[in-house]
This record gives sequence, C-alpha cells and structure tokens, in this order.
Amino acid sequence: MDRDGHDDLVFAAINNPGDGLGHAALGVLKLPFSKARQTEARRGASLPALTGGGEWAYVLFPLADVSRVAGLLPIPEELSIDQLGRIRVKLPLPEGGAAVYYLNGNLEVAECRFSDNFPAMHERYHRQGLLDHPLSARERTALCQVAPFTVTQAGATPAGNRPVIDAGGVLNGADYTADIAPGMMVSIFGQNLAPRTATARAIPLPQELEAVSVEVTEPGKTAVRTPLYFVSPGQINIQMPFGITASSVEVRVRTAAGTSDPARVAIVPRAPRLFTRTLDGRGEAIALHVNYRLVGEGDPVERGGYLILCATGLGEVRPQLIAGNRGGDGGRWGPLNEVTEPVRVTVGGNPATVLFAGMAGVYQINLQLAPDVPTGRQPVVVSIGQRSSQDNVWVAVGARRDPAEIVKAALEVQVRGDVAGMLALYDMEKVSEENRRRSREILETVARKVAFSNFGFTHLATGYGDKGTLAMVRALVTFDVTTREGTRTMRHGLIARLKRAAGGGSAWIWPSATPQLPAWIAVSERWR
Amino acid sequence: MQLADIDGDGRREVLLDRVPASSERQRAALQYYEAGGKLRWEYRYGAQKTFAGRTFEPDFRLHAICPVRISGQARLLTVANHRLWYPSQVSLLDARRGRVLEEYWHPGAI
Repeated sequence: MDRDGHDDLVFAAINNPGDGLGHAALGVLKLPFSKARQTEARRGASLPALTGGGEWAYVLFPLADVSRVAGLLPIPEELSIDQLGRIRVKLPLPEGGAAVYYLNGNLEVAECRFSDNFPAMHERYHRQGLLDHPLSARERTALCQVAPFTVTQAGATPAGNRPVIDAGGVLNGADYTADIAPGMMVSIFGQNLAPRTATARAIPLPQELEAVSVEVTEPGKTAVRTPLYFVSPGQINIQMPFGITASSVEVRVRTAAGTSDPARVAIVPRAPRLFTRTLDGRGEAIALHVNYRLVGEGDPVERGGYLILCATGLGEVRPQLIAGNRGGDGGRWGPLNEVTEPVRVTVGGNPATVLFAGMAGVYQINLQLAPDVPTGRQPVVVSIGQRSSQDNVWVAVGARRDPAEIVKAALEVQVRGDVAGMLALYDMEKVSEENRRRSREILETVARKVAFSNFGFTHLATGYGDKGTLAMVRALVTFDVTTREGTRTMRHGLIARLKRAAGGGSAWIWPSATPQLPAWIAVSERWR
Repeated sequence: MQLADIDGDGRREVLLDRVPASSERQRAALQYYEAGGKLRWEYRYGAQKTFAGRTFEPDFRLHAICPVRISGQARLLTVANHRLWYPSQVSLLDARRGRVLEEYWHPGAI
C-alpha cells in the first residue's frame, strides 16, 4: 500500500462497538504493526476514536439511509485488490442491492457504484414514509465519500507495540521480591508498558494514565482495574487491590497498542516490607520523626523516642478500604484504617511499642522505641503473623536530648531576632497562612526596632509529663533589649511546655515591662 | 485445518483450529503440528476486551490465517472474531514458536 516493498494488511470490517448499525470500515496495517507510520488526522475528520488505534490508514464508509431504515448491518461482503492496486469493497444494501467502492492506495474513493435498484428503493421508502426526503444528487455524492481518521494520539505508543510483562516481572515495590499481598505497592517490569512516564497527581489514585491501565483477575472473577502510582515504558507501579482471597491472580497491562499476556502472580495475605532511602529495599529505612522530618544519622531518633515507618504489604485493614483511596471516610478526622492483625516491631532487637499501624496512602507504623535501644545503626524489623520484613534494614538511633536544650535553642532563635529562623519553625509547626503573615509582620517590626543580646538561660527543672505533655521546663531567661530609649536587661521566669501530640513544644516570654515591644513573642520549637 | 510449509523447511506442517466444546472453560486455539505429527506449539487466541465501556468475554473464533514472510522470517497472521459480538483480533505470530509478536484489536468484526 505504501510502496515500500513490504506486504501490508488490508482489512474490511464493520465498526460497531455499541448500539446502532455502525459503519463499514477499511483499514491498513503495516507488517509488523510496530513499524507503522502514524498518520495524522485529516482536516475535518472529527469522528470519535473508535478504531483499534495505530492503523496506517483507516476510513469509514457512509451508511445509506435505506440500510438504516431497513436495519441492515453494513458488513462488507467482498474485499479485493486488483493488479492496479485498487481496493474494491462491496457493501450490502437492502433487497439484494449493493454499493461497490473502488479506492486508491491513499484510501480515497476513486469510484463508487450502486446497484440499479438503489434509487427506486430509496424513492419507494420515501413514498412509504420511511424516509423523509427523496434521494438527491447531493446525498448520492455524499455516499461516495469516506471519512478518514486516525485514533492515534500524538506520541502515543505505536500500534503493535503490545505491552509485554517480563517473566517474573511482577514484584513488590519495596524490595522487589515476589512476595505480594493485597493492598501492597507492586511494581510491574516489562517493555512497551506505557508511551511515556506519567505520575498520579491526586488521590484517589487514577486507574488510567496515558491510556495505560492494569487489570488484576482472580480465578472465576471479573477483572479489576488497579490504582496506578506511575507508568513508564519499562515499569508501572500499582496498588494491589484489597479483598483478594485467591492464592494467585493474573495481571495484565493494557495500552493503546494492545494488551499484555497475563502474568500469574502468587498472593499471600501479608508480606511486610519496609521502604528504604535507596529504594531498593536495603539499608536505611524511610523513617520519620513525629514532625515528619526524615530520620537520618545526622538527625537520629532518640532512645525512647517516637518514630514513623513507611511500609507495605501489611494486608487487609479495618474499616475496609478501596485501593487507591485515602484512608478514613473522606472527612478530616475520619476513622483510621488499621491493619487487622497485630503488628510487631523491633529496633536493635528491642521490641518497640506500636501505637498505630494502618493505611495512609502507604502503610504507616507509629511506634515508640524502647528506652534502652543501643545507639547507632540499629536493625528494624516489622512482623505480622508469621511473616517479617526484609533483613538488612536499619534506622539511626541517638541519645536522648535534654528538653531544656530544646527550649534554650528556641529562645536563642527568638532573641537573635532571626526572622527567617522563626518562620522556618512556624513552617514546621504548620502555622496557617494568615498567622504566618501576621507573625512575619511582628517579627520584622521587632527586628527593625529592637536588638537583643546577651542571652542567658538558667535551667531550673524538667518535669516529664502526662499524656499530652512530653516535658515541662522551668528556667530563668535573661537578655538585653536595645531600643531608641536605651538598653535594658530583661529577666523572666519561664515555663515551657513541650507537647507530645504535636511533636513539638511552645515557649512564651512575657515582656510586659517593656511597652515598646509587642505584647508577646511566640516561639515554637520542634521536638527533637 | 491448513497444510502448508510454514517454516520453509520443505515439508508441510499442519495448522489446526481447535475449538473447545465448551468455550466457558477453555479458549479456542491454533495448533501447529510438525510434519511428523508432533505438536510444536499452540496459540490461544482471543482475550477479554472492553470497548465503549462494554466488556466481551474471550470467546473467539478464528476467521482467517495467512502465512507471511517478514524480513525473511516465517510469520503467521491470524484474524479472530468474537463468537457472538463485535471485537476482532489480528495477531502476528512467530511461525516457529507460536509466540505472539504483535497484536491489533478492532472494535468490530473483520
């Protein structure tokens, strides 16, 4: 067809994917399909995308009114190509009639003929009230035109580049082993899995990205489309649906170019795995302080401190959750989707107190370390039932920091008039935009008009607190304040409360004896 | 059934369209028998497909088969239509191993 010396596949078909009679169609596929030159839609070709996609050429034939009235499906009756390269297509008309089209290599109609009974039949249908118009020359001309179009989107996967899942290419997304559980993040490796890389940008996670979808089928059940984290030509990350009871499922990747062969994947109820910073399932765990700052050797979690682990493969949750959705019921304080089985964690071989284990996009485990955990790189293991997470994952543990040091550091920042430092603290405390703006105004005003110096901090006592309080720090604070009126030494008693729930603490200084200053300066300090 | 020298070894092989008695349990398949009668490969055509929001079960029947050579390699083109409804499948197979090289789906019968 394109005179490149290689055979092409020309096919005649009926295009009727839904209700209605549809239209006869003619398509050309290059062989192999993946070598297809992607044609651009011609001007005015506005038909919806109904073809398989990626044809070298594709046209639809008009449906004659007489066929529509008679309810005759326009299934092509004959297709041939003569020695001149002309394509001949014969389409049925009612009452034994036919329309014969001759098309050139560009699938343009060179000639069309209708059986002799066609005009009389149209006229009779009109007289009988089945048609509301006589056959006009214009209509006859229109019947001799075809509608060319392509469904290939610019840049889409070339037709024929059917996705292929590598053998053993469906693995969990944490350490890339074959242990896969319901609700788990799963990576699919292969070729032609997507035309380009695309990442989910919202929750609920989409079930289609770049016209790519993944289906999971349990034996005897209908296929389920999975949520997608991202797609790329060589890898797709999905979330395995919850509620799988079978011991294995079939996984298929669908793209505009076709559907992969199924990959059979074994499913276990639980396969706990920890995500690591190198994203290969080994080394330092992705662990967070309670203020969601990353734990690292430069910023370790303290003995007896609190820790958030990011995991996958912990299995079903209660209340049940549809994969790809955020937890809860959509409300801000919705129910937590907790793992249905008890989760155990050891750090440095010492059992930690698990405060929460549930689904929050990924599985989140909140825990408190034992007070006697050794410092340094300590192995962390998550267990549920008889299954444990992978070996060779560690978290950095440091000595406990004195709460008084935290308060002192916070006040130093304040007294230095470090506006940027203060705002950074506010950021960590997630201060609202409005309060942040007001705080900035106050801080900048103070910084312009007042100078602080000679900060002194005398720690008196620290009391370790109740449920909502990590510690209470009593101290004497002194500093010099310089204004236009001169320099004064401020000396105040301080009680600072470090809050456990917020993962931080707050301290207030009340300089009521200094009317030039704002009524108060609030500081916050993250709990380290 | 077709008899042809598919792989170009000078001997005729047998292509057999095996249609199961119950398509609910098993997909139809194209079987390739060597000249000596040994089954070399089997290709189960058809698959569950969704067009315009409607899902079609993998119950297909072979409509056409055509040996072709592409870059000197023996290939088989197959066309399968859904037994009851619309979708159709064009497959390009490696004639020696029966492996699917490429696949094209059309929403209506070919």
